[in-house]
Amino acid sequence: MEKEKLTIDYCLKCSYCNTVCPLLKVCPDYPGPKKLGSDIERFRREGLDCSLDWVDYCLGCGQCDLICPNQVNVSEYIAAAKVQQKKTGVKKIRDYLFARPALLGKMSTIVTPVSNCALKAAGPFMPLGGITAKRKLPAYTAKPLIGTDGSSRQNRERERILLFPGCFIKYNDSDIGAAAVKVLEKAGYAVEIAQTGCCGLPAASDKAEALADARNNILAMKDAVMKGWKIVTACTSCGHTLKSRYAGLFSEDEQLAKLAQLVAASTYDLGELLVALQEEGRLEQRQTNVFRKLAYHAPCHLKAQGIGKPWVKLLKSNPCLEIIDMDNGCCGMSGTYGFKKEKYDISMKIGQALFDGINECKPDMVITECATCRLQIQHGTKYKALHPVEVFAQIFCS
Amino acid sequence: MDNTRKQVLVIGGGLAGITAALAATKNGAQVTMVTSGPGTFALGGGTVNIQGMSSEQPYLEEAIVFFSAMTAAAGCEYRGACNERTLIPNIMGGFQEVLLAPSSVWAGRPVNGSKVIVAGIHGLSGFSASLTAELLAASVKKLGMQVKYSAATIKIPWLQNRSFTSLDLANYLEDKQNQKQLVELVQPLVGDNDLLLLPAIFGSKIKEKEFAEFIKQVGCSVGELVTVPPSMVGLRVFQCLQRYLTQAGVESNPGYPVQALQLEDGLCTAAILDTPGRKRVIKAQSIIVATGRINKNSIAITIAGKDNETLLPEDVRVNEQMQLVDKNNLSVATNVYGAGNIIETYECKNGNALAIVTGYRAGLLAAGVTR
Repeated sequence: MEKEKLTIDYCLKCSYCNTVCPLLKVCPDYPGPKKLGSDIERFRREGLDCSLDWVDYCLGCGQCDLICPNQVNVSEYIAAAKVQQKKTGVKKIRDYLFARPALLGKMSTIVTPVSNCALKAAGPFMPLGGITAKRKLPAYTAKPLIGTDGSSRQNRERERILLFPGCFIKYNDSDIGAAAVKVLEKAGYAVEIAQTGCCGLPAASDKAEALADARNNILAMKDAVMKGWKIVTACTSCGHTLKSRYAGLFSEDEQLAKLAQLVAASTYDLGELLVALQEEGRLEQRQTNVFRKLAYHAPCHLKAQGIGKPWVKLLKSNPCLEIIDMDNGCCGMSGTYGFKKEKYDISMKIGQALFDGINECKPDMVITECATCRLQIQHGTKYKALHPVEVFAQIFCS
Repeated sequence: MDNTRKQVLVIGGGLAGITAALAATKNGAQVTMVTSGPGTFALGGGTVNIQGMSSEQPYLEEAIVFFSAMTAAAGCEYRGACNERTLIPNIMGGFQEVLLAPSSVWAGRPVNGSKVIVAGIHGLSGFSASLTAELLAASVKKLGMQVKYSAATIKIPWLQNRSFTSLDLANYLEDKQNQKQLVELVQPLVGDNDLLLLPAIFGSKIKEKEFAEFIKQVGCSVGELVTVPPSMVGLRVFQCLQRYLTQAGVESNPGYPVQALQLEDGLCTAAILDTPGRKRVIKAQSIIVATGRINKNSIAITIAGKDNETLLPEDVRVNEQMQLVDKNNLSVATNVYGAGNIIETYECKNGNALAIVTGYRAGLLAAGVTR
């Protein structure tokens, strides 16, 4: 029997998945991961038409998969059903563009100030395109991300790292990428910026696009991984995609499948790599004289990587920082989900527990690895949200 | 890394695993947990049974006292004691003999000469107040006790005309306004009753203080009835203990089970996790296997320098020192301990008191406590 068929029979109907679903918590009419995932999957496999609009509302946070006693891929079944869903009109155009952040990023960073003005001007008209007017789309950056200068002999001899920037760092906030490069250089590496596009996660419902993204990225990183370089990403969603999605995409192309596996095995989350270095005694943190209280939010796609919470470990070991792990579940943003007009209210309801937690904690600032979690936190609270590497770079590289 | 503390890895997040992790961490060890799901403990409503097990079991009292203290400190107080057996009602209208139960469940036990009202909620699937009350009345008669059971069903306006589960209701009741509304709905039912029995519908976020406030406002004792899975009481206790473990510095790794244990020179040196992309290696000085029986994944044992691997059987044996042993009573590795449901002498009728005892002992031994 195929592994796929085995796992669906492993569903015990224990309903643990329903107990962790952030959507079910605020939206009782939602059928929940058990019904929408493993229950209905049986009928889908029989070829029965089970299209339900609800599948489009799953956030893809994957927490149902994590609590399952038998590793049933509940969220994957829902994601697969999403691909089959037919979209029409404005939603179709909107979701086409949302699935291609790299396309938007490339076009918008040709003349960044113009694009940012256009973004601002377009604000009031967003609802016509199915995008909520209650949020601001993130501005684009004019600063390109630059790796280590490889001209000196000393830098040429260093161990290499290929930094997978991801769309947000590449097109919206290259300062985070610059902080990551600085930290990695200080830790003894030479960093090269990968010439890659979008990781493909936003295009999960657009199979051809997701496949094209994965193929292009794998080929762009081929030389580096063949030479044994590590791929590092500061974005937990990119990291999750590279590690867990690519390998399953190319079952028909043996060579590409092998490369995809190599890419997955070579990929490190930035925090994951730094924590490993600290444990080996290769990373010395300095004490600062500024005491800071930081509220930490763990992105869902970090949890899905099964690497624990590396930044909490790393920053907690610094006595000048007080790290409070919010542990309030999903923020509700889920990439572009919270930008969609019909999902805005749900997104905010899901985030409320986290917003309340942060407000109660009264931190100096909030830190979280995921870009859209940061957008959501800044939108739902008055607190500034940073990537942990921005805080760490200040301490570590000063 | 703190090198002076013993590194303990606990595999499994059910009752045995949690107790082992708590016992080890409270005895100075640095504990990491690897879990895949909350095990059967949270499914079963969090009660602790002891049927078929001897009260003479060594360490039983010590372990139960430890568990009671830990749960009280975590904010999910248990009631009961080692030398007592108590009957608590269930939604099927029967009584279940327990050693310990969460205090809200314990509150539902039958008291001679009392009047009890069972309240149902219109639309809640899997629960009929009138049926439960009728069956409880019949069961209590058999016990030779005088308790009068009656039933009533309330309608929550927001929840009408649809069928919902206790989880939906629990999510709804996380809102304080909705809790207040529930008080207003059940208050008129109290009358001259001594006890109100409600199906377990409060979620995992309700604190003991809030529950006490709810009881005060209702005006009589309130007991919770354990429902069909997912049982909200079990989940509440589980999540409460999870938070407590995190506070105590235990690192938890949910979602990716241990695939293999690596042995070298008679000692287990590391556990391999089946994480995406690359397998994760967790090194430890002591390993506690408390994987239970509802998981389908099995653990392989690999020995350095040898190609073949063996699978850990579903039934395992432990020796006096809680070390896992093979058929010939030879330990798998001297630093690998077993606890809970996987131990072959653990029969279903033993209930989960044995999970506490074996978890507690394995935790102590793994942490290096000697007596």
